[in-house]
Amino acid sequence: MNRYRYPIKALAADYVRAAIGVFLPLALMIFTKLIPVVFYSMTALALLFAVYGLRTAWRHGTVLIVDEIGVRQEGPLGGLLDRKLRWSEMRDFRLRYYSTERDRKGGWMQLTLRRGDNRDPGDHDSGGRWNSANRGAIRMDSHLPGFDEIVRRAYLAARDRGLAIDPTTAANLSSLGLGSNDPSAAITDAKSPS
Amino acid sequence: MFTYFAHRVLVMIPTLLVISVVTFIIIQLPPGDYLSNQMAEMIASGDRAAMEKLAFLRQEFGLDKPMLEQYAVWLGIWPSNNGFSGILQGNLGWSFEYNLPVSEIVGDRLFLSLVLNFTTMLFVYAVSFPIGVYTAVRQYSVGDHVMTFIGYIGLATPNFLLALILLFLAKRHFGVSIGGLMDEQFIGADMSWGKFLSICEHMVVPVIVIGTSGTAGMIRRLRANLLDELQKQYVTTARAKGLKNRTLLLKYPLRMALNPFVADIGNLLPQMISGSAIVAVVMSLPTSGPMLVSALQSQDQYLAGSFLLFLAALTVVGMFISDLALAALDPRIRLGSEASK
Repeated sequence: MNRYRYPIKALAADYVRAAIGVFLPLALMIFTKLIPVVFYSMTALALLFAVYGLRTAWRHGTVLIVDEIGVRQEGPLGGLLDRKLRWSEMRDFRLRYYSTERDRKGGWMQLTLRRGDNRDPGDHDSGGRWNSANRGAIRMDSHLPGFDEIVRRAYLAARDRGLAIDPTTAANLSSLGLGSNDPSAAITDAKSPS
Repeated sequence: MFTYFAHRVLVMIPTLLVISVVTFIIIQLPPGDYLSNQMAEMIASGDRAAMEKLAFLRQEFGLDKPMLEQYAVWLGIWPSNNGFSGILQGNLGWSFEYNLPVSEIVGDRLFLSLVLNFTTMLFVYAVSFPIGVYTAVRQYSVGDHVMTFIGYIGLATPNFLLALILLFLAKRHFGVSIGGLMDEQFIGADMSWGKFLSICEHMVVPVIVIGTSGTAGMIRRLRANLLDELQKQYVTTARAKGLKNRTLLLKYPLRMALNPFVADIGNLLPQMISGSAIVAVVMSLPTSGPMLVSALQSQDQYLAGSFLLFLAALTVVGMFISDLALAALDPRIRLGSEASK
């Protein structure tokens, strides 16, 4: 069993972004008199980055536990935001790459894992850790130490289950040295169970 | 995607700030300003009272202040004699040429520019998408040849020339003037259903004129990209696996071919805006283009600055939409790029 969490160093830039995104609009709203359209735009910006900051703090306190059974996401708030996914129940496996630069360098990858609906309610391990019925997606990005290893595990599980891997995921996997970049390998019959 | 959205929004803020700085510097670059030009004429005519008035205006609008302070006041992040009163507060400044607040002069023109450019963009995509797909799927058919021919003509014809030709043909054969964006009785009137219909009627020709080259370029690009994708091995494999042609086309090659198509939103907007300025002069359209040219010539700095800032902001927003669409459509790593840790 491996436990992964985001170190402060990996999230420092996100905290700075959130702080800038919240305080800059707030400063303008407090110290200058704005027309309504600008005021509402600034409010929306401040709210957006407040959510971004809270999300960063939540990621900071979240632990991802990966073992041979599956992956669990345990956050500081628990309850609705915690996620559990057995490799054998994985229905969706996506690897995305985002960059804000024109040359598309210096970006980050995001792995999204989703479970299927066909889980047996009585199916749980001896410790009772896998018997929760939450269905949300588990997302993590390449700032997480051990991200490559989690992607590798998820990819092997997806391959074993015969899941359809979309061309974008196939290309991104290829850049990590996994799978084949040939999109033809990714095309499966849409009607086949995945 | 949320993280990407937030990052991209944060990139927009310094971009807009830098654009506003560059805009302000550009309009300040020519020696002197509108008032100093006026003052030179006053001195030549010996008009002492007007000179005193100009000196008062210079002080009132802070033209005697350092450029940095003028910029901060203009933007609304530094107080002037009247407190904070800049763009962020809805005060676009004073037009010396028209002797009116800039917001009163540009209101309708900015709105019409926005509507015209947005409609043109819709026209470009609505026309080029089906034609681009058709010409690629039916390569070397009669339809493909006809569309390709029209596309080449569209690419090779300058917008203003097309506008002149249409103006000439309309006058000669139909006896009507197709210039302007509304009937004369609606100019300066409040928005009404009649005015709206008049604008819609008059907008058809400018939209076609401004959008023709963009449409032709888009058709060529989409056709080339889609043909490239359709000839790839995975399409053959998918066909061999029994995937229906339409499903295959929509699910894989079209999605891949759409990337450059979507990415072009960012490039199309500035091209259309600069192109529409010339067309607006030729067709007497009451948009921002002709007034911007006039403001730049007379060094009416706040008027010119407001226009330039608006057009730049429009471009930045266009790039933002384009980047979001691209990120949603195909968030893949490119050769040579790598994920940072």
